[in-house]
Amino acid sequence: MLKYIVRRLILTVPILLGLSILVFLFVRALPGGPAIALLGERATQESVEQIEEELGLDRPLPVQYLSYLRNILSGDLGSSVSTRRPIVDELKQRFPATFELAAMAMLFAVAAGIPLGYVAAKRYQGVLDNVSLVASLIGISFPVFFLALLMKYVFAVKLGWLPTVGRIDVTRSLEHPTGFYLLDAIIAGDGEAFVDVLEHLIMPAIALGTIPLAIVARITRAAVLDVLGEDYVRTAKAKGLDPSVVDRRHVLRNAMLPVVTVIGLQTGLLLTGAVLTETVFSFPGLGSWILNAIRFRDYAVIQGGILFFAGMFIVVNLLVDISYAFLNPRIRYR
Amino acid sequence: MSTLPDSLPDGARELPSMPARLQVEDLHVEFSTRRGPVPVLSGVSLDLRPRERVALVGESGSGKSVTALAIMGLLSRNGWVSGGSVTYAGHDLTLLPEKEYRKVRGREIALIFQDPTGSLDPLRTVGSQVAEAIVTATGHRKSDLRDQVVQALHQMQIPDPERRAGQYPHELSGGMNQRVMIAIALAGGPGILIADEPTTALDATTAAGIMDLLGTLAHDRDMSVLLITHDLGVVADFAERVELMYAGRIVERGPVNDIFYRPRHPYTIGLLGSVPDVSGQRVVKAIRGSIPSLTALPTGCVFHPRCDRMQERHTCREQAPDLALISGSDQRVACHFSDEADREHAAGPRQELAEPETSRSADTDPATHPLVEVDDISVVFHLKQGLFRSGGQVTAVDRVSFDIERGETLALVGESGSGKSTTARVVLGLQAPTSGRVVFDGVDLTTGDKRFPKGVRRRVQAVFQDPTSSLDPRMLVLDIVTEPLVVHDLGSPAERRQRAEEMLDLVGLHPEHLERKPAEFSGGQRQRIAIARALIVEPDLIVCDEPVTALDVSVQAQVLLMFERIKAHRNVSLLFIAHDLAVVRQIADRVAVIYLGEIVESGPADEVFTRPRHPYTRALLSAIPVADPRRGRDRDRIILEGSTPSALAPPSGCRFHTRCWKAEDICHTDPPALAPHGPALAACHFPEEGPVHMATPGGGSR
Repeated sequence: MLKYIVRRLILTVPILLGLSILVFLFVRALPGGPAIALLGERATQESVEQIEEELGLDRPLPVQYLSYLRNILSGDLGSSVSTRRPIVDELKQRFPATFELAAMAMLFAVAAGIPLGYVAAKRYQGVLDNVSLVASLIGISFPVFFLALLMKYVFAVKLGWLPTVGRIDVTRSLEHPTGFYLLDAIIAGDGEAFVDVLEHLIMPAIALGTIPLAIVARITRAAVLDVLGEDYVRTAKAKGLDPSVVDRRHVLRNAMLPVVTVIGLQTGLLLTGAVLTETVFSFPGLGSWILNAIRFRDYAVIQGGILFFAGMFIVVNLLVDISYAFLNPRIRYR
Repeated sequence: MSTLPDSLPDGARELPSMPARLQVEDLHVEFSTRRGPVPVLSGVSLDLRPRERVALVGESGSGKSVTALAIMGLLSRNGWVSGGSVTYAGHDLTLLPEKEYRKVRGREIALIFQDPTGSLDPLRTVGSQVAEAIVTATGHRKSDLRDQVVQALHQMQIPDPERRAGQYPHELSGGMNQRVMIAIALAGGPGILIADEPTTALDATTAAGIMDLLGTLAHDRDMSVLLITHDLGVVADFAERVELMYAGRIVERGPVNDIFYRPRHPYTIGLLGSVPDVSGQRVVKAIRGSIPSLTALPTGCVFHPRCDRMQERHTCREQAPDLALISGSDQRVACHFSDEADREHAAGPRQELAEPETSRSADTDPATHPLVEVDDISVVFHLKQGLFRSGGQVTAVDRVSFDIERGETLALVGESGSGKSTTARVVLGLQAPTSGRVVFDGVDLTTGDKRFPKGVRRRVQAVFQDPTSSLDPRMLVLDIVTEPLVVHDLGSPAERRQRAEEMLDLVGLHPEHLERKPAEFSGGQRQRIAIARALIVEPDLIVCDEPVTALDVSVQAQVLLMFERIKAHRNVSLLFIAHDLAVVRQIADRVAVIYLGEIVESGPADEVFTRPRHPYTRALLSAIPVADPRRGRDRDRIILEGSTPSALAPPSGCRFHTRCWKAEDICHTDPPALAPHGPALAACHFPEEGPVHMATPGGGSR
């Protein structure tokens, strides 16, 4: 098992290397460049060239890439052109925000999606099943940013129940030893701050979690229906087991296998899906950061951010594969 | 002896002394479909007395499994009991509230199923599943639960039960899992065990052990067994009484000997005639037509459209017969003219209707080479373990050689995992052999760049086991059947259509079937379509991989007879892959028996079946249930120990030595070579000599 994990981690090296080349080239294929973004469209040719020379962009591409790679390997992802801040520092600060948001969104999707899917399967072709089908379709097809804006308008602007933007009330002072604000609030023993952070998370998490919720619900429903038709469920019933015991011990556990796969894939997508949500709620996470970077052709930020997302995606999927070995005895990694 | 039907009510004459343990009376079950409710059971009655072994026999769709589920109160959501009763210990189970019913399941009546591995939860150890059954049945968890589980597995003759208890279903063989299922079923000490096709999914040698165990357990634990099966051989071996089902009704009932030796219902007679006979002395006869759809049942007697006895008499078409007692016997039959059965018997043995044996032996021209020469082929699969390392290798086929002459049928016989299907794939060119050659009509197919030139491809066609998945559901039959012509660019569209019509006629279908899709056909008809598709390019060789395994007995008989007809009319060779020796006996000219990738015996079919040299062949032959109670119960039974070893680590020396009762030291070390014994070849250090004890067939009429 440990060998397997190590092997999988080693395999991520070529993946990330290839990705770094692709991102490096794509970013440079975008029209415009950091100099124009900084100086505006009417900048003179000379000033543009001067900036490019300063940034080292006048060198041949392979040379640029190699120096970039050398920096990465020494742990330096470069600095933002627009804010001059090191990218590693930005990541340290912004990753916990996006992580908290994604985790809450997934928690919401799983906590609501699995029971919904289970109930729909048990009431197969009943009213509840059909209602959940329609609701899921709406959930999947609803644009995230629109849902976010709608919620913001209703719950923050009209009703005033929830804060509109940010991770925490700007007037609140809270130490941030970890950067995970919920964790920080617990460390500080500050209950009010905890509730405040939670309130800031609710709407973005729901907006971000709606699509995964719908998908998890549908997959759960299909999986439960499949398992209910399995012979071993009939065996369990023939033993004289209570139906609730049959469902708990035999049906749900087996039905969770495909659901876990989907949760893994969706978690990967959540990280990127956070771009829209974070922008609407001015949430200081990775998504809004990268969006800004694209606007300013901030090459280093785009490259660093995308590599980081890719790394996260790989780690999440590795975790899913590992969890599979614990859930399913038919899978043994060696 | 008078054979007038007696209309006395149930139970008045049939063993009045012993009360039934379970009594099903006039049970009706309906299923809801899109077109409204469909009657699946229409008045099924049966009794199960203490310690009695009753077989409920029928083909797929006859309602036998539904009967079992109705008794257990486990009908699926869209099915319900619409009439009748199931009485157990004075209670009508159909009226029991669900909560009470649960106390009956497992404790009073237990159930085992066809697919043992699928019937066990894949995520739990078999031990925990047995434990769950024990706790549910006894209502409390004792501290020595683990010992109880091990003890239960031990009683099912599972070797090394402590270790097995901690394993998962996928780590056990099918036979082991069925033993686990039996342990689960018996955990509550039920008085009745319903076994629904308990051995159908298992290899013959494994199945024999399971039936043996069931018999012992039923006797030791005072259980009644309701055995549900389509296999008349298993019935003849196991049952005391037989209930024969057709289209949701019992059509004949009686003691096992009466049913086999004095069958009265034309369906019973037809079904018995459909069973291939491993002794080769009785030839298969098929029932015409197919099982009616439950949505459009015939009027009157449901069997009348297929009945030879009816002879256009109106009674059969208008009036449903009762299950009436034959006076002076314990036999009941639902036929208006059951008294004619005696006359039919007197008219002569039913063998007379057999097809003429035309091409039993191939017309070989010694001057030319065989059509197919398989020369010393091996197929080695390298297992990947993880991403980089090799995980060892499996020799699926190990130095196999055989020839197929023109017009000859060679049967390759073996159990699951023997490598017989891999061999078929090599001959079809779907799998490259690791070493060795396949020569087709003088052309070496295994060397050179261009393996399998297109001309050869046309001359070798295939028919597979599952006729459902081997036909594209979205294509019309016309397109399916003519596709090989299109591939090989033969004929114009009009000519192709005409050829397709000829082919359908040859396989017993009609031209109008061309415009339909596979879903509209039964399993047997689909297999006919697959055969038509293979025949249309006039191949010299058809490779048939278990072509009748998925079919019902009566349908199997029809398809086998069709194969015989095709063989007689077109000089085509067959490579027939099968595990069922009785089927092979019916169709093969020569037989090769394969065990763990090696051919252990081969020769003319008659020779191999009557004087098998290799102990494995003998064991296989003895494991086949014979559809003849006396002959079956008299025969020498060899029940093999253990299960087939893993091909990953085949035993040293003779691969069969781990299960062989004749094995001596040399067998552990030296692999025996295939050596001639009479007209056959066998690979054994201590070959058997005498003929196998098969007695003479006595089925049907004596």
